Amino acid sequence: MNPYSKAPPKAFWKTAIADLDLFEISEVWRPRHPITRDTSIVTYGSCFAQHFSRALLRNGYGWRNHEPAPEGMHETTATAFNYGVFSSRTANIYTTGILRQWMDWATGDREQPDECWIRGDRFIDPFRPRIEPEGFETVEEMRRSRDVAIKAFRRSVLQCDVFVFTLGLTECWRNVSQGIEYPMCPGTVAGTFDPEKHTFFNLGHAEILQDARRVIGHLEAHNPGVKVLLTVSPVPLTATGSGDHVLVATVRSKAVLRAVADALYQEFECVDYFPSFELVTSPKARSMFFEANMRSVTQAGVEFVMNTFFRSMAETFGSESEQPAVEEVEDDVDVFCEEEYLEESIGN
Amino acid sequence: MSICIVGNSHARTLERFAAGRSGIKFLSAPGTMISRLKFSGEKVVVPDEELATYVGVDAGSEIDISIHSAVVLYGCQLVSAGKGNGWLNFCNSSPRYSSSCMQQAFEDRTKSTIGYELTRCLLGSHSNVWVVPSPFPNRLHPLVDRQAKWTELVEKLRLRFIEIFASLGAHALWVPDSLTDESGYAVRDCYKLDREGDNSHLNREGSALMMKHINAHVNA
Repeated sequence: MNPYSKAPPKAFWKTAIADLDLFEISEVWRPRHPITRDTSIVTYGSCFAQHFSRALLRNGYGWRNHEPAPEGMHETTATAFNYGVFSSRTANIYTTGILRQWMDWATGDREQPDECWIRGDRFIDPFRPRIEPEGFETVEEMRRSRDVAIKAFRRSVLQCDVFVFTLGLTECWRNVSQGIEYPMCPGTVAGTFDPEKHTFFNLGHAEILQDARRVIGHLEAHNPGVKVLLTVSPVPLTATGSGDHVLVATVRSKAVLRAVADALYQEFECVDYFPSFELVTSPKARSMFFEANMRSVTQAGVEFVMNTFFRSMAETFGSESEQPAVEEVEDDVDVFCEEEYLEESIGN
Repeated sequence: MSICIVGNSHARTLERFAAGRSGIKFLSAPGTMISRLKFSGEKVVVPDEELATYVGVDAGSEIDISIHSAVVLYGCQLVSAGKGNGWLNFCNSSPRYSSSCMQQAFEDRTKSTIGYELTRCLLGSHSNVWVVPSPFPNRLHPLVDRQAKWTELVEKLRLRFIEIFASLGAHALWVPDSLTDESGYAVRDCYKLDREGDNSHLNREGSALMMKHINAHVNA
């Protein structure tokens, strides 16, 4: 008799993974809180989070869009303008630092910065550099648009039952003197890189955890009872500024984010972790859920992840959560990922 | 020179007040019924009894539009659909959106109207097609923002409207300034049709201004 003697099959690699077909793997996730079709869900984070919102919508879940496109705009045009991609038009939020920044703007703890980038005769929002296909006509228009997004973000925080956040990166660029963080390095998509002002950071566990705690603190203070669902994006880095090989940098980044997610899960009862990273990158999947570039996640991968999500809900909470399998769709909608523009900006 | 005006209830209103004017032929029917017209070469076919009753011909009749020097498509959801709520809500929401976004949304809206589809069909039957949007709702419409000044936005939408139809090969006009109030997106209340709850259609004076606008351009 030893502690493993009575452990269930899911505790052993052989019975839980090696002996099973990929699609037979089960009990990967035991959700902490029920999510039903009546649950008001908002989603933010890195590129992978975009798949999450679409799958929720397709399956009749209450994904909330707090910043809808203008009336009459076609879905494809709306997506090009980043409407309906996240619950408000924050664009991709890759790091907890940027999430904290949005939260601080939304709660009024910090003023939004005045900084504006210029590309040709258009104006680019440094915190949402690809939010408008062509940029803004004027600085005022850019600021007004960001203000609208901040208000929508605030509404989403105040009114949601579940706040889903996909952790994406640990690497970031900051303007230290102004205390601001950018989703993209200045000078890549737009703006001008100034080595005197702009500093690279590869955030560690402690700092990411600190930012995340602050965000969760805000969420709990402003929306008591809210639940937080964390995931880690399985999408590897496009490029690293760390000096390491991009593979090493990717694994480092994901490992830190995964550890932070676990720390938050242990610390906060309201936090849950959904293992989308594990499902896509598992050795059992043999990289089949990645496109030829070995970076983008295939539609099959998204369906696998989301089927697991809905099935786990049903297994844990019963009939209320019993949902049909994720509808197979011809999903050729582009996932918007500013990070990919790094490749363009360096001529790859 | 004669023109043929094709359209929905707005064309009907124009027809009512322009009765007896020579050189103008109207083909009008309410709402979306007008979209049931069929096109065969230079002829417009009125396929069913109901539509034929409105157009004033027998079902199955073929109307030769090539005898007219121009065909004007008027109304048909273009710009201000239904009772105008869509247009007014659209403009009222503009502070939440960038100018590029509004223009793109406007293009999407325009291209999804029966007016846009009818224009494409008409261009297969006639080489000189003009497009004139429905008049804006009038100032008494409850959704008109009394403080609004959307003239700058509306001017951009006007240019986009002309571009959209030019790319099809049609000429496009806009709601004439003579009808528009200071908000830039509503018709002056003095041109409201005297019918309770109707904030969309023009009265005799308004219709005369619209007719003058069409004539001035199409017959220029």
